[in-house]
Amino acid sequence: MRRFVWIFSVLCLPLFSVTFAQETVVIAQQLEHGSLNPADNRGLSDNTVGRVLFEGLVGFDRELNLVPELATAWEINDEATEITFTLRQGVVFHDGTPFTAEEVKAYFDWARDPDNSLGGRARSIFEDVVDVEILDADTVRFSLSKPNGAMIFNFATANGRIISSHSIETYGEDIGRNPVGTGPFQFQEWIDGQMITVTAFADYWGEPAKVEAIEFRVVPNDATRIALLQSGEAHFIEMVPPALVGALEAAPNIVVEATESVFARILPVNTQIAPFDDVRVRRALNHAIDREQLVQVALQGFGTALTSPVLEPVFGYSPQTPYEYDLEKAQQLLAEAGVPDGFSASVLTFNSTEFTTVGQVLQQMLSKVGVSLELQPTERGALVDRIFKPFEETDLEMSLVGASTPTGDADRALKQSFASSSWPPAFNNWSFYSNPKVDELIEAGATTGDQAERSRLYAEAQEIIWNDAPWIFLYSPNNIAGKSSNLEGVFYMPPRYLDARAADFVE
Amino acid sequence: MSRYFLRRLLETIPTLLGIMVAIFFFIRALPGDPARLYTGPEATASEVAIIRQRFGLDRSWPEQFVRYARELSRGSLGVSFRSNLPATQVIKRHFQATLWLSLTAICLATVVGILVGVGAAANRNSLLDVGITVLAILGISIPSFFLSILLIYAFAVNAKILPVTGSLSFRGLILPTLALTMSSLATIARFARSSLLEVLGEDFIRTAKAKGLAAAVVLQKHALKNALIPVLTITGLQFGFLLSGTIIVETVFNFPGLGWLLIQSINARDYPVLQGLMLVFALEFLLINLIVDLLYGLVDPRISYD
Amino acid sequence: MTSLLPTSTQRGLLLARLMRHRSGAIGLILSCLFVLMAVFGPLVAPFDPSEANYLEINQGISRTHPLGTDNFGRDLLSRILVGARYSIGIGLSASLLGALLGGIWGLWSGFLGGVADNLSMRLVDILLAFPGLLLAIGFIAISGPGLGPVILASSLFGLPIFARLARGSALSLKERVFVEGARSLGAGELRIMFRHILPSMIAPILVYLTLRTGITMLIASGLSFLGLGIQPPTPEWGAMLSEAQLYLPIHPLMAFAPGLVISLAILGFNLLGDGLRDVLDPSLVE
Repeated sequence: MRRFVWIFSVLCLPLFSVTFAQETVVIAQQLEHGSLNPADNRGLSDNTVGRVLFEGLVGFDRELNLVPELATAWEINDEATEITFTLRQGVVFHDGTPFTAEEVKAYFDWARDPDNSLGGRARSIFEDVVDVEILDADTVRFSLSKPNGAMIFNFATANGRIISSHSIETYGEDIGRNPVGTGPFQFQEWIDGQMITVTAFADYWGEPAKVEAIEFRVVPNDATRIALLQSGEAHFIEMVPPALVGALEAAPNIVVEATESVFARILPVNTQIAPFDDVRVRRALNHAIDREQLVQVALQGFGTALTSPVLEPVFGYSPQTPYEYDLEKAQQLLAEAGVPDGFSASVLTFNSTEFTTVGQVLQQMLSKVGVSLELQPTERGALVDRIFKPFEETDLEMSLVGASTPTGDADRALKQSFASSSWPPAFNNWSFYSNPKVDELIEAGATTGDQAERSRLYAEAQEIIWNDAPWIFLYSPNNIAGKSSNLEGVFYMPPRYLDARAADFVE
Repeated sequence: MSRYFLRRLLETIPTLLGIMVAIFFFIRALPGDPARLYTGPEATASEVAIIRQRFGLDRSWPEQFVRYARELSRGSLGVSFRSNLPATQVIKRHFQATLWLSLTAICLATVVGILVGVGAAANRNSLLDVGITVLAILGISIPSFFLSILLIYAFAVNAKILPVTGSLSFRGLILPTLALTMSSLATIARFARSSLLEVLGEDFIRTAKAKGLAAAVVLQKHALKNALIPVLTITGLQFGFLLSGTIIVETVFNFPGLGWLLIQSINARDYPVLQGLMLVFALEFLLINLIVDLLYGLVDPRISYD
Repeated sequence: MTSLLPTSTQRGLLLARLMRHRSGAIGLILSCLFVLMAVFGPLVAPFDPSEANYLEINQGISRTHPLGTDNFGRDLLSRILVGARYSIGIGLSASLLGALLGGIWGLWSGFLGGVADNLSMRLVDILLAFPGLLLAIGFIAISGPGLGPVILASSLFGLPIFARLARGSALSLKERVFVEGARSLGAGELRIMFRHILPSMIAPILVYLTLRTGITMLIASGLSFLGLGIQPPTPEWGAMLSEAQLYLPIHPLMAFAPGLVISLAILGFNLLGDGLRDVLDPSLVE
């Protein structure tokens, strides 16, 4: 075969001379793009492209700290009911219109407008904003209906990024395909389902783009993405399966980067039904998992064991005492709870490699304390239907799923998964957990502007949840990217979108 | 002849209608809420409700069906949930891609398939015949995703002479065509072989041979022509299969054809595109069947259509 | 055609003729080997096919593991041996199910004739035009993944084809002399259908059934590739192969073993089907 390939390649060489324009960076993404309307942004791939096209008033750095973008400064009043931004001067949109206080108001008013069906996501995260006031040419004030200390983080998410009001008027319903922002790159072409091309924007206010263009290609199949990087057709690929990291690193021109994410892999148990309504059973399950081995086996070590219901890069994170791997203790707890011989339970999970692999490892680990898991790997659409059934209709016992904190704030992390008001279908409290004290703490944390006080409240909530163990806490998978060694300035942000603004080829 | 054609055409209408109704209710009966899938796992219930309204899914099924039928009568398939583009536009673009891929694959498969099949039949039961048969059948015995991956590693990753992903360009078509051709080629070769053998066993060939015609002449002049009929049929059917998009090959090569679109649309529960795709598949299927039947009549005058 | 009612002596003859047919013989031997493997494989497997051993992952060929181990350190030989029961089982049972349901459907339809026949054939058209994969996803989404749904879903791909085949045979047989004879002797329609027509169409259906077994195994492996097939850790070959494709750059053996057996098995059934056709179809006998 080798020889055949060799002869074939010699014959074909004149036909297929391969040249790569080094000015264009090719990034292979896993998920499809849906819409480049920031108010409607809902996917990681959209977020990645949006990151180079648009800017928000504030943004995140690699550690999810807030940094200035279109606002040079911001101030939150003590009651956390008002946020005042000082705007950057001399910024223009890609269509040439200037960025002004009017633009800020126009975008947020449009995004929050209940009659605007294109603003779904933005409307819900800016729900507490009641008014946007222009104080003077470079100052804008957002007033909130109730104290909300977590609000500022929403301005740094994909939905807080601003597009030109002129473009909203021009394109109407088609705004999602005709993005006009202020970022270092401007939109050029979108081939539906295949790729989006952006080119450097000459009038960018900040440090200019270092490459001419970026191609964001959609390649859902893992093996195909890997092959693209190996063949040199792509310079950066998302979501490298952990098992292949070694093979990729062995290649001379390829570098693999693994960084921390704000994704958690968890096993929520239905805390309202037996035997999971007994906290001892839930703790026993947590003691029966060897997280180190799990991460080693399922992820080749590319993950970290969870140390709290909130992930480390998230604001408000407070580490807890780990559940040590202790089979005897687990068995003892099960015996105390009246199920000394264990039990069997169904586990709803995705039919993707990571989840089925982890599921199989968990199956083995828990079988040692007599708990037998029946894995139900399910196609996404069907899974979503089952997992969002209200309590009266649900048949959930356990589920092996993911949770993430796109806002980078503990309010979001705790509220979506542990507030009594978040039981499906309202939000993601898949363990049907309910603890009035936790509800109180989450509410208190959200309604104060004092960030130190918020941290304290969230720390208390995290401790209670950790001890109540509504989840079997598993791990946080790394974001693993593969890139060619001469590419710099493209990297994963913890929420698993890419920041490619500073993309550059180096020798 | 034209009356037959008309009758057949009319006959397809109830089938088409049946498919339309069946797909409409079938995809809605599938578990999976398009609005929930669209908004993603981080959405609140109110966000999902907004999208559900935008997709028109807050209405009852009969209401949705009436709306769908009304749009269809105006030549519109609605707006794709997945991409916010008109479904007709989305399908058209992917159809073009699949059409080109199918055309190149079927041409290659037909030419090589017939050559191989004839070669095998002319030397029946020789080692060549067995070898060709086994090879041809091996072609349909390898799971296509595996073959595709092997091709990618051989030609794109190791030899670096062809692109990994398929596209509508000369170089971008080669690997997916190869992966796709294998099974059609094998099928056509086997058909060519067996149908040639069948013809060779018939009386008029024996007569020709008895008259002293050289074997090669017999093969060329008499047998081949007659043996081509069933080959034509199977080629048409194979083309029909290819035209529906080959989900797995298109997925592995990331080729933007109908099969790829079908998978993405199923994953997103993109009702408008799924409804449109089904209509396209059904039309293709019925048309190809019809054309094959007609060709059959043209080639073989013994068949009448009354 | 009518002489194809297999009697015991003819069955012996059939076997003998098949053995003289070179590729048919190869097919027969291969198919038999794989069926034997499905029956006895799990009994002789040296290791538990789902028992992970994290100390021995991705190993090459060795004395303890003649085919190496996979990414969980599971013995590949054992997985192949046990997997035979699933893969061959799915291939055979799904095509048998398709043949049975489709056969009855087509037979009934052809026998009734008229409007009922027309309507039922339109239904077959609809089924044929419906992407099998969509149906499969529907089935599996509703019932959850598992052996049953995969068999059922795979059988759906073949069902309408069998229905057409059976109807064609029924149509041509209905008017045959022996059927007329039976009718004139006062045999009931049902009796005619099952006692006289059904046996006569066994031959074409048998041929197609054999060919279909290979195709069904391909479909099942495609379903696995799309994450809809038999779920791990069940060692179904298609699932093993699709799991292994990711490891191709680092551990090709993991893909090679299931790839080889799956291709050989399909090859076997296809060759056997071809051979059967040649042997059963008198027009080809010289």
